[in-house]
Amino acid sequence: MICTFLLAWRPFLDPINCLHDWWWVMLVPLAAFIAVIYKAIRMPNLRKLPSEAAVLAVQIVLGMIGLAIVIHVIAETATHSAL
Amino acid sequence: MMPKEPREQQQIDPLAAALAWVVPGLGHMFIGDIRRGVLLLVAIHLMMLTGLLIGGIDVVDRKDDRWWYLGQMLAGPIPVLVDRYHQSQKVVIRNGRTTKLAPPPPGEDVPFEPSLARVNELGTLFVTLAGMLNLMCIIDVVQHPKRERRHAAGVVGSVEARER
Repeated sequence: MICTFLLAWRPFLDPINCLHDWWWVMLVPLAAFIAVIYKAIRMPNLRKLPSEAAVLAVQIVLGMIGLAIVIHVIAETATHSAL
Repeated sequence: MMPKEPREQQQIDPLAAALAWVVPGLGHMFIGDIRRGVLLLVAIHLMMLTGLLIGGIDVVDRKDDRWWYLGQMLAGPIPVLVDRYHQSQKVVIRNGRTTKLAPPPPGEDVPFEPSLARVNELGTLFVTLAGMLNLMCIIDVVQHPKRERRHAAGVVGSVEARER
C-alpha cells in the first residue's frame, strides 16, 4: 500500500493517516509489546520469555476478538429489538 | 491461638525507583538485573516511540487529554518533554468553551498536523500503556529485595508456579 501523504509526512510530528482504515492491525504489535514487557517483569528466568510472551500475545488478541464479537452481538440484538 | 508471624520489613530503594522512572529499565540494571533491564528499556521505549510515530506529538497533550497524560508521564521524562514541545508549538483560538488550532502565519508550514480519530486513539493508547507498564517496572524494582527474600524463603512459591 502506497500512501501519497507520506511524501510530506514528518515522523513524530504528523500522524500516519493511512492507518485509519488499518487501525486493527496495530492491535497485534500492541499486544506483543504488552506481553513482552509483562512477562519480562513477571518471569524470574528469562529463558522462556519468547515462547511465553508469544502465548500471552495470542491470548490477548484472541480475547480482544472474542470481546469484539460479544459486543457486536449485543449491539445487533439491541438494535433489532429496538426496531 | 496461633503465634503471630514476625512482620516482614519491606526494603524500599527510592533511588532504584527514581532511576526506573527516569530511564525505564535502568532501575532493574541498578539492582543488578542487567538483562531484564536492557529488555525493558528497549521494549518500553519502542512502545512509546511507536505510539508517537503513529499519532505524532499530538497524542501527548496535558491540556486536552489530562487523564491520559497522567498515565503517559509514568514512562519517564520523554512524554513530559514531548508535551512541553507540543504545547510550545500549539497556538489555539478560543471561542467560548471551544478551542481550535490557529492557522500558521502566511508562508510558514504548520508545526505539526493534529491527529484525529483512530490514529490519535492508537497513538495515545501505545504511549499510555508504555507508562502504565513502566509503573509495573517501578513497583517491581521497589519490591525487588523483598521478592528475592520471600522466594529464598519459599513463601511465594516455586519458580515454576511464578512462571505461570
